[in-house]
Amino acid sequence: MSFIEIHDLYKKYGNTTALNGINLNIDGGQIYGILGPNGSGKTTLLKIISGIISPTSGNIAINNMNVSENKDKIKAILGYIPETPSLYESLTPIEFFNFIGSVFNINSDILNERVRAFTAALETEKYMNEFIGSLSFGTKQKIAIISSLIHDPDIIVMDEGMNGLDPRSSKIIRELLKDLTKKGKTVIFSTHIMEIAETVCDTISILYNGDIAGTGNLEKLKEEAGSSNNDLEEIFLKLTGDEDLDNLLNSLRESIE
Amino acid sequence: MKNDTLFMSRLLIIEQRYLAVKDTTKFQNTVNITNKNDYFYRNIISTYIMNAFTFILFSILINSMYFAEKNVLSIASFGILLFSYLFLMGIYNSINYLNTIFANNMMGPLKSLPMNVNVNVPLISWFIYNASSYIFVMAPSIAMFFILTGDLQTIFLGIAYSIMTLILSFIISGTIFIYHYAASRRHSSVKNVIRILFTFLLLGFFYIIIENPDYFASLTYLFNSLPFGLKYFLFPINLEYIIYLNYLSSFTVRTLEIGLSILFFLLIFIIYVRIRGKLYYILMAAEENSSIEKITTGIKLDRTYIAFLKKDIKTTFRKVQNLTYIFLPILFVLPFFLALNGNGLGGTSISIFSSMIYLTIIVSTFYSIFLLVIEGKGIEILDSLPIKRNRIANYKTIFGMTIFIILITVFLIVMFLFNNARGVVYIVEWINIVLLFYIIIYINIRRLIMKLPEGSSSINYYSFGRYPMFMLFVISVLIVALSLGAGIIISFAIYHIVNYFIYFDIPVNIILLFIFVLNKKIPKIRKYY
Repeated sequence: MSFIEIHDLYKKYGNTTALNGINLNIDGGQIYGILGPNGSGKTTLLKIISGIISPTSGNIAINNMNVSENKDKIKAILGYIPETPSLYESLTPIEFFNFIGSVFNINSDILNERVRAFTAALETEKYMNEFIGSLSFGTKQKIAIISSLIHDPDIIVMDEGMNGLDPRSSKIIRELLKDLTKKGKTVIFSTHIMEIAETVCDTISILYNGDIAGTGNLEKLKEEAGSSNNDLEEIFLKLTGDEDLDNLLNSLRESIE
Repeated sequence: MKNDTLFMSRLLIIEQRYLAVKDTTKFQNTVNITNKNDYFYRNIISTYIMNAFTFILFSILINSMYFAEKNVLSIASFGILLFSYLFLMGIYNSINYLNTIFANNMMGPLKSLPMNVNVNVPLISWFIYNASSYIFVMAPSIAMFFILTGDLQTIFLGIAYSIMTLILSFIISGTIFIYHYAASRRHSSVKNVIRILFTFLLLGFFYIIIENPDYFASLTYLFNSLPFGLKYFLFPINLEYIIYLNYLSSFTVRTLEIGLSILFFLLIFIIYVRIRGKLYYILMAAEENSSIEKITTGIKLDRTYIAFLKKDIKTTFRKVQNLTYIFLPILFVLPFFLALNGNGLGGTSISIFSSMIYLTIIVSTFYSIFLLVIEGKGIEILDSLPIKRNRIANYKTIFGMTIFIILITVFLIVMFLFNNARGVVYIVEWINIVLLFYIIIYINIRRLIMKLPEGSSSINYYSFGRYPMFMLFVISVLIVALSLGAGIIISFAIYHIVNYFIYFDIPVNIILLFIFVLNKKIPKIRKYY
């Protein structure tokens, strides 16, 4: 029995099918990457896992709890980091953490300690009394990441969560995520950056046009793609169909000339 | 007008509507990728037509009484009330419009386009697709006046001055917007409140002058002592006179007055010419919005409802654009209050009670939307938290209640100070009104929040349908009617039995509170969870 079980999951937006019968089993205590091009359904899948939106049909269970029927319970053990940080611009980070901490009813001392530790690790202490609206995109992203971790969630869902981070912060977050999985936490994150997926993820699922094009670790994906080398980009292109890529590039070159 | 300008004007309004509905199932089910622009354009046009139609109908209904009596003076007096509403709606709508563009950084992406965007685009877009529909509220008034007097100029002047009034309201909103944007980068929440109170005090004063300068005896004296009879052509104070009442004046006098009046308007328009560049710059650079207010508190945990209350107070009071929403409803209550209380602040207990009821209806209608709109992109945060939406509605209601209790208390204190209003009855009515407000705002907020599709990424005015204010107003009026009606019926029934009259309004409201708010088993709510 896997920690997260996704069975025959469909999501339609009007006439557009975002997820087309997804089946996935995600074991706990690992970093699970959802890799896919823009518009492949990554955000939709992560929002459904997080209980933010409901599927059109199909089931998803986390730790044997049906997500659709237990949204609040799932949200209480989950930290969601959206693609673009959604924060209250006229609050300071401290006030925002206070709000989040109060909603999750975290012990005051523990919350203070966690905020101190995370802000020190992500080098954001000096911004704690600034308004969030005045911070850079990268700093806002760090604030969003901290706010989703301060209640010590069992599952961390990051939708392109490394966007806007400088290499130093990105490295710190990657190491932090690895440490969290050692403590039994499960991290699911989406990206279209091969390098990040390759260096961080224990398991990767490639999502393409709402379908799973391949799942497994790098070796298994290599097998599925029939690829001879370990380059994830090549595996990704093979699994998502690279036949028309040369034609597209040639046509682009001609139009530029 | 250049095609680019019209294109950008249309784009701004389409973008607002798109952001509001993009997450709704109805939109996703009915619109495919290829017909999105057509869908929004049709939506905008049909909203415009419905607005115009509603305004015409409302205006015909009221004016018909005066028309039937051939009462030219009453049509003129009501006309000036309509102009006052045109002015207020212009301010409210343009503030809303500018805030939505600013909050969603809708003009930011234009920076990268290889074209010079006309600095008048915000005004043009607002006027063409929103504000011009309000002019129709004047149509029956000027048409009936024309039929009764045969004065054709009333029609032309009515249209021209309606446009001028709307532009004036945009200039005022734009100036407030710029001033408070600049100020919010330097000052604290307390100063924000003082600043916005001062602005609204000025607006209220200005509004009263438009409606009837006689409310201030000294002001009337001042006007009468103005050289050359400035009151006849000083826009907008002259509206009642210049559009309606000077139809018997000679051609020369009239031409002179209109010419001078337009000259006054052009002087006001210079303010717009001066501010439009700044306004455009602020809207373009929306993402750079920031404040430097320093907060030095540590983390102290609160109960959830206190945490929500604190968050809402801070996000409202630190952002002057949000603060304007709090005070604007008061201006809408003012004409009703003045009409009921006559010249000055004298009033009977019935008129005071009616004003309190009107205040409750208007404030609850406005606040229901405002309390949710201030969330903006924060709705994505709330959706990811383990809180059900009916609880969020409850927390929002607490914030609304806090402000309303202050408003209604200040209102009663003013009555106590300037009037002979005394006695326990007002304290009882205070409790009654607070209860009523709580029921209305909770029902309205809950209804609105349930309409939001799950996974919404932002909220703005249009997120709640095409005519949210109208529906909220109707619901508020219905609840008030139910409360008052039931109170009166039960009171008379008791009187019939015990021969002693006890007004039964508070127990009725407590019963309504149990039925609509405290009863958690209403099927409509349950289906969402």
